[in-house]
Amino acid sequence: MLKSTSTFVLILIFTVFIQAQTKKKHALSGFVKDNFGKPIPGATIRLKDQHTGTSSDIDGYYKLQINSSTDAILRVTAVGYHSEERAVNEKLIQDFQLIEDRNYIEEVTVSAHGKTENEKKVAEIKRSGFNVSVIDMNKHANEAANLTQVLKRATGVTIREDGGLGSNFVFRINGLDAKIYIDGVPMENFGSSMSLNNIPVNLIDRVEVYKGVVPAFLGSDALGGAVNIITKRRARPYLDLSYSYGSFNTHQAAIVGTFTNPKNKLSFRMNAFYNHSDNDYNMYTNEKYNVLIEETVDNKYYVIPKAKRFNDAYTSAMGQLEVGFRDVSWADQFYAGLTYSQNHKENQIGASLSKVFGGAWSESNYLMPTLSYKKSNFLVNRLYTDIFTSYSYDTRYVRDTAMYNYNWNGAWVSNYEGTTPNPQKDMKYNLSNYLARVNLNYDFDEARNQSINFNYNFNSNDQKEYDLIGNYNRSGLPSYLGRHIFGLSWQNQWFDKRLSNVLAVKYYRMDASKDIDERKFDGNNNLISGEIIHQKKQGNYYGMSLASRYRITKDGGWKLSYERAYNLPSMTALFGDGVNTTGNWAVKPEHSDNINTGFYYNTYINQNHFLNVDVTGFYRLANNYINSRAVIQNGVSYYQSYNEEGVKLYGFEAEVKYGFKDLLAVTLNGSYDKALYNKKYTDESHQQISLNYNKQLINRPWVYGNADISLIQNNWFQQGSRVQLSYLYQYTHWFYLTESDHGSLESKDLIPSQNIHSAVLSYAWDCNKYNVSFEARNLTDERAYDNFRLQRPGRAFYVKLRLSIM
Amino acid sequence: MKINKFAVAIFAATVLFSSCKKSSPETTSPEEPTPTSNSLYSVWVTTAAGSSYLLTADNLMKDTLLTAANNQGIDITSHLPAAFYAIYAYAYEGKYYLSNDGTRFSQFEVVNSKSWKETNNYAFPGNFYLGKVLKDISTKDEMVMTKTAGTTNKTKNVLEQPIYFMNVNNLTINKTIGIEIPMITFNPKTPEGKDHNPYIVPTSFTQRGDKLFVGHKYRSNETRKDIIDTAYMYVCDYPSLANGKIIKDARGGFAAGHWEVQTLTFTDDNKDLYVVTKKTDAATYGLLRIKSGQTTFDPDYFFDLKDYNVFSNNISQVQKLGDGKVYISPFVIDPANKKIVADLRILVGGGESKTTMNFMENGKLYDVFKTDESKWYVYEYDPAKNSVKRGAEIDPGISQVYHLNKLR
Repeated sequence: MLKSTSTFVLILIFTVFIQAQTKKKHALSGFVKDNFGKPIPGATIRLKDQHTGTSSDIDGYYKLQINSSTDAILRVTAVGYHSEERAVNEKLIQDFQLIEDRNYIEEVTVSAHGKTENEKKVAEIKRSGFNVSVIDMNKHANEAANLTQVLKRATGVTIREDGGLGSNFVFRINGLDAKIYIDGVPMENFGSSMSLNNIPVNLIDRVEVYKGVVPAFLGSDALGGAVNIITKRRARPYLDLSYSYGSFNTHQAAIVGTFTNPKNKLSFRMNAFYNHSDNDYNMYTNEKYNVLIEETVDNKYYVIPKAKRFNDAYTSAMGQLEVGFRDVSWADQFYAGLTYSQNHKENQIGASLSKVFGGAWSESNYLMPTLSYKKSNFLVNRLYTDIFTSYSYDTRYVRDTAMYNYNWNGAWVSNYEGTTPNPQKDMKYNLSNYLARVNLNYDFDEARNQSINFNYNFNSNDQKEYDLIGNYNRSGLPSYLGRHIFGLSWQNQWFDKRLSNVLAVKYYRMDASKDIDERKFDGNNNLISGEIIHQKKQGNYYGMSLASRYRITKDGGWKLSYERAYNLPSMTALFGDGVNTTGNWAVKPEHSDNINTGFYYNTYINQNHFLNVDVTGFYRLANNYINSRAVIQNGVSYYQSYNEEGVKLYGFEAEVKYGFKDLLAVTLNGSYDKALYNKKYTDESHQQISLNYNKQLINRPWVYGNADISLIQNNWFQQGSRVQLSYLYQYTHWFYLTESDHGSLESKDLIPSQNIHSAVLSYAWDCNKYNVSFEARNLTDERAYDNFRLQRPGRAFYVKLRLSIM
Repeated sequence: MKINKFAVAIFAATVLFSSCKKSSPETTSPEEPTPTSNSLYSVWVTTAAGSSYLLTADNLMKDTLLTAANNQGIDITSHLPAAFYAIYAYAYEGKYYLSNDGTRFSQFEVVNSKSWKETNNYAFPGNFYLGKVLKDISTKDEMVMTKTAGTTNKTKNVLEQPIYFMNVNNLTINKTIGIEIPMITFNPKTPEGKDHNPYIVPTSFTQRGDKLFVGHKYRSNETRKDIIDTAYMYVCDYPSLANGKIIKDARGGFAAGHWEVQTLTFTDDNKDLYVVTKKTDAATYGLLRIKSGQTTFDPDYFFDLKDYNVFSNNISQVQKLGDGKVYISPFVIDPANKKIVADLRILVGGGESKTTMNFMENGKLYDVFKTDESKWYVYEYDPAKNSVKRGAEIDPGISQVYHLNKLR
């Protein structure tokens, strides 16, 4: 079924491609951009001396119905830019490139007039004291990448993957387990349908990466950072279709569409994607780093130079349809939605290279109805409300039907000595999840100098587990976890808007309960003593944060933020998942004190050069750091969450961006990110200092950086075309698997440095409507490892077709 | 600027950055062994970060500090899925045998204080973790062993448990024999009335004369906990494996232990076989006996250890100390006379034994204790004098000692 979806998408793209090429145009359209090719939203496009006019949207795109015979003058104005006039001259595609007016730059970032909700948010983020990077995903729309590949290039972000498309990954911001949100809703509520490693870039407008203090409007218990993924939302009819094909039989297709009936304001939004990869790339023996690919002959292991991966294919598909109204008197947006997704993931290797699974896979089916409501001037002027609620059902199967151990060559180890086969495993999990989120924002004045924001987030989970082979219900006695999180923030600007602050307080409430069977029975099942005990666990926690920005000069400023935040234990941490993870009722909420400070400088030189420098430092003191360890319970090994008493993290990062007109864009960044064990003593007697105290956390990258150099040529082969060649480089410094100063150097294992070079060549024409791109990833075929021995894919090539109908 | 010029620049940058590849450190080859003594001992420690190290010494009773700090010791972390997999490792005839992550059975040799190397391996077709080693049958060239988990044959209602005779010189299997342990015929229920669907875990293998004794316990597939407070023992002829029967005794709970290598049965000088038992709920221990020449539990013997904090930290190896005495950590016990001879926690001046593997040399017991000051020391216990001597200190910054071994 999933493959037929892919074929359908491909046919659809080409059909629309050809039809669109032959379609007669009746309107004047184009993009309004700045001197560096960045879209200018909210620009006014007007026919001079006439009443006909429109404004550009978030993409800088405009469309204006005109009389085709007119020879009128077109005038484009935008706050913060010099206006431009041009005769139409029968040319129905007119792109504008406006020059910044330095005297108005400040106003651009603070004025809320005429802005869409999206623009307001960006402006709000920019002017705030939050340490945030905003990644414009439209720039990456022609890459055959998912979100993971793009996010990896952000400063302070590490994503460690086990393998190819859909593989397991660990995401960290400055070393902490940051929360991920989709349009402000915690990603964990989307089950396995939406993950960093399966969302195509084309579904996303931008990604906000917060380090340290997280704004209160992102509810939940984020600690140390967060990523907010903003999906594409357009008021106008919009359709974006893309399909890519590449190495390892990788197919990725995405559709994003919006349509609003201008008369009755009935609105439709659709997102869908399909991903598939065989992930059958070559794994190589690399003895220097103790990476051994082996096969067995007569029950002995022998090293072989390389082997192709098998049983590692990944397929995922998601469809989301929302129907509602927008821009009506009672709602800016009101949508009822339904999301359905399927995942099928084969699992060749677990956490180590030596164990090869020949028949392990997992599968999930996910269904989530949603309701969302957004309204400006709700009840009173300048009160903005955003309400979201969802109820999701996720059915997951985990199965391993292989009866024997497997080799890297795909054959199973021969049953030379008559050993009995491995037991088969077939588990089913039913997870239901409820989420309610309310966000209210009140601006005391039109300029938003003073505003307050209130956020409430409630989430509850319930999971059932079944052993399908043994026909056991492993759900056990009832268990429950509910989390209420309230956030209240005050945003203010002072001294002619030179000083901007966001002061926030948070209240966390956790209610957990479980039943424990303390009954004792004799041999005839007669009750001797005890009863079923209902245990409750409640906690009230308070956090606060302050994020400030002081604009020192017109071009530069200083940011400082502090927070004390909590990360409440998850359902799995408290109750386990029944198979691999055992619960730990004793797990306490993790809390951390975080300080971030940084300096930014943005300037223009001769209006043709743009320079942006961001330097940030951070210090974090985490207590009861929630970590995972392996334990044995009643003779069976499990993973279990526990609290690491203390971890201290500090570091700095820098990013430099340079642009020359709309021809050259360069980004360089680097991160130094140190984490130390802060638990001083070996045990509770506090007598002996732990060997690990003040030593670096093991098995963790701590120096990494990226380079992104793009050359752009507009109107090369035809008017309205754009050629872009991008070179991408990623560096991760080597690190030890264990403590750097424990054990002889001869015996130590390390994860080698990574130098990944990639290139993307894209060609767009007809005002970005048609796009073709070619991507070569890992050009030098580097043996890259994010984790010990687990090699990521080597050199790969992709071609991508994209059609974007504005 | 045209795109082709920039393409050249990008190519140049690729070449430039590619030259950065040598930023990873060069690893060095292991040094040649430089033995300074005929003896070699090792201490298997873990740190709070979950890393594992082998610390070696040619004399454990020297006043010295054994530490992994300052790049000392052998880092063995990458051979273990997690630190506790140390319980599936065993030192035999000077070499370590590791189960790794259940697919590879490896033989390792300590080269010197800085390195070890895999000298041989064996690939089992199914998951294999080292279970019991049948020391009574094993020889210098052949290790007789089991895997942790056998297979429940529901049709025959038996546990099928293979015993492997492994040639340790070339790590091949000389032969495999399989025993079939009959399972109980009733189906115990949970308090909610659900079937436990029990399975057997063998806890000991003891060969005595022409008999093989296999202690075993039942666990619930439903609750994953030990059930049925009865000590079961499968007795059959050896080596024919014929005439098998089940004997049982409910006085002390089930036959204690689990599937890893530690064996909680022993025979004394009179060839009386003792079985450590444990109660499921109270978690207290006791001793049962099968007298020499008998194949039934001695109805007149039960030594209840409920007042003694046996195995309070780890189930560690039971050692025969001679003269009718036995070490069941942390106590020295005279089982025949049902007497506690010594509490080593008191003899060491306050501390706890936390190892899983200790050893005997020249009639003396060597074990590691964590003292009340949270320091770790090797102690030598002399059964003849009923006294202890403190030996080498182990870095107090470590978190656990799994094995204390004599390698040569």
